Amino acid sequence: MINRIYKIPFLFFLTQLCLFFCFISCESSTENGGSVKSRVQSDDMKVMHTRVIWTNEPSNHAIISWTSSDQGGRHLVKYVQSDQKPSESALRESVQSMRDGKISIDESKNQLNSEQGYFHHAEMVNLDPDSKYYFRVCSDDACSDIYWFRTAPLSGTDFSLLFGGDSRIGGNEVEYGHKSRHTERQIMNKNIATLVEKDPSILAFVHGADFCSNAEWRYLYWWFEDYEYTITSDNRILPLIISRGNHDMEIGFVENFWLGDISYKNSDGYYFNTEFGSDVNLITLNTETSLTGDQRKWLENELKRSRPQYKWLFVQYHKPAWPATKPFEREDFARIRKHWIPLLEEYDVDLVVESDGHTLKRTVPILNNKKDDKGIIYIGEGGLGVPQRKADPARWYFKDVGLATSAHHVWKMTFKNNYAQVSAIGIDRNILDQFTIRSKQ
Amino acid sequence: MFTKQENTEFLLKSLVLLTQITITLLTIPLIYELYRGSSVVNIYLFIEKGWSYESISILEIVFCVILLLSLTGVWLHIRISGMVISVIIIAVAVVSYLNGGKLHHDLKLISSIIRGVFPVIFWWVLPLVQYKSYSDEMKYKADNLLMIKRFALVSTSLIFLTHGFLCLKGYPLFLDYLIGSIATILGIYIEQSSAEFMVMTIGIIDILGGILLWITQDKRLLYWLFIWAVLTTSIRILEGGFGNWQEAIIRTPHITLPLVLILIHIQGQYRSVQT
Repeated sequence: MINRIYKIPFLFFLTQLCLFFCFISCESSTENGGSVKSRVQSDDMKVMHTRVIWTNEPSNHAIISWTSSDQGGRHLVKYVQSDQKPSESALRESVQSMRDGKISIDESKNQLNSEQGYFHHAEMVNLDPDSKYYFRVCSDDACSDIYWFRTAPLSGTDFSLLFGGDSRIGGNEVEYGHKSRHTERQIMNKNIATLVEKDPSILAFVHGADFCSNAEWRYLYWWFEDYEYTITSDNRILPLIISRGNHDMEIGFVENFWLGDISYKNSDGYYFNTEFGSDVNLITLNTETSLTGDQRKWLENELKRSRPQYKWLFVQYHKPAWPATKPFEREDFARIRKHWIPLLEEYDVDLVVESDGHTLKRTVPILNNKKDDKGIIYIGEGGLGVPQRKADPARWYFKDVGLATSAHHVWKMTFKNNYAQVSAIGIDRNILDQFTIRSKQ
Repeated sequence: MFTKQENTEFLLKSLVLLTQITITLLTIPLIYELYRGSSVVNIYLFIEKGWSYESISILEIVFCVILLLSLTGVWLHIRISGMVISVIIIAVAVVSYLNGGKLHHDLKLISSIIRGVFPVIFWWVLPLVQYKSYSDEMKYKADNLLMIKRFALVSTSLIFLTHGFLCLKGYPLFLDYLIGSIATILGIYIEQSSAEFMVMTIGIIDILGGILLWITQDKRLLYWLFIWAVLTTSIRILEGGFGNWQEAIIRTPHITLPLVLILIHIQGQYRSVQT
């Protein structure tokens, strides 16, 4: 009798293990969906997912990344600086890809019908500032359409930037397999294209991370498919300035969002600054690596260097210091408040953009953990398609002039002489929030 | 002056009390998170599965009630209670794994499951003070203690091994615990390279501890594992402040498991003296 009783916990363990593996395997049902835009192919080779990535010095440097369907042997970007769309033969300059490889796929999980792909990254350097560059990517004989982007100016603030984060799949209207569709993400991406078409002064799109549920190819593939909706009708591609979030930790992120040395600098890198000419500096931080080590040291040096130099100084990172829905006391949020925020306050950062919470927020100006007109305003929380959670507007840092609500959104920042206008644009392209800030320099 | 028999009884009762306290500390943060709607279950079901907030709230309340009833059951000496709590904690750990968003979440799943499995120990612990006959008493003390010892040994070893591997991988959170704690105490930020070296060393010690446990259960090793578990748990409060209480107390089993081995070790000594 007693021996049988001893077996009960073991049977219990066994049952739990079986349930666990059943649960994991249930995650893998057949799914399909998403958009498929233009594919340019030659025989079996296809090139897709063309994108422009900015890191440092976007006035003269850009990373061009794309995916090919086969390994191929020769991958390059053909480009030319021109004000008018050139013919294919006019793309007289070219640069070879610097980094190529087979995209990692866990076949046991690849049920989203994502095709096997090969990543390619090329660097365009010595570009002219404030200029239109037309380019196409080629893998062997297969080439993409001709796209274009504008480099950042050397000086002045005659431009706008878009900010947003959290584009994991979502929506509960229709499901494929057991996964929600990504309707909202596609709409937000189309909205971005419309915004750029209406306002060509928009230079780049700053993404606050959590691109997908995780950074495996089965999700990233569809993210890249959907991202093609941001391409305007005249084939303008908005350069991406990316950060890394807690759902971007898999190998697919490093493979597909290669940032040159920045990807590997110190632990897992992905913190850098982007200077838009001599007036605006954007610092991108990585909340998913050590906050207190090399990154903090780099941040302090960068703030010390750039605050006197730039009229506008902005910071973006993924996890929030001032969350709108998640618990305020969570250790990762508290760590940002403890180790980063005092530096941002000391060096008078003009505005901070955060993501992760799946809400829309704008805090009151905060200094020394309390409301202060000389403090920093924190905006964002992520609404590029991920289902929006309930916000908690009762928190002290949202009271009076602050805002915390559930709404898909993208932020637009337009620079004027001494002030910047910041607007949150909703999924229906309506203005959800608008305010102005003055430079603290 | 207590007799050796009384000392043994005291140790066994301590073992039961220790288990009850650990299960309680393990369960409270989960009940708190479920009650507030801030658990990973809420996020996962809403974001990935498209559940409505209303449905999730009902589920969370049901979980809260089951956990509270089971916790009461643990203190009322109802043997199955630990298992029910274990099922819920492991389910939440699995949901957290599926939700993703964590670095090295495979290794973290292992340590979460070990913590979740801890309440199962209650099944073996309770009979140590609940026997109806002399033969039952002897049987329980021999067999149950052996099972508890095996369980604690495997769990302690796995916890130290997973932590060791995380250290060797240069887990950034551990770097922040170390750099942040030193910054809190001394007001200076040490170099990341120094912290990486220290974390690496700690990792090697953890792995050695986890392996040595299989070779010897020398009391000096057990005391070392116990002290080390206290340090690594309390560093979460030192670095993150008292707001980080949940992260600290869900790690109570890390401290309790070596302590269970120490108690069994002491009990074994008493018993060998008795015989």
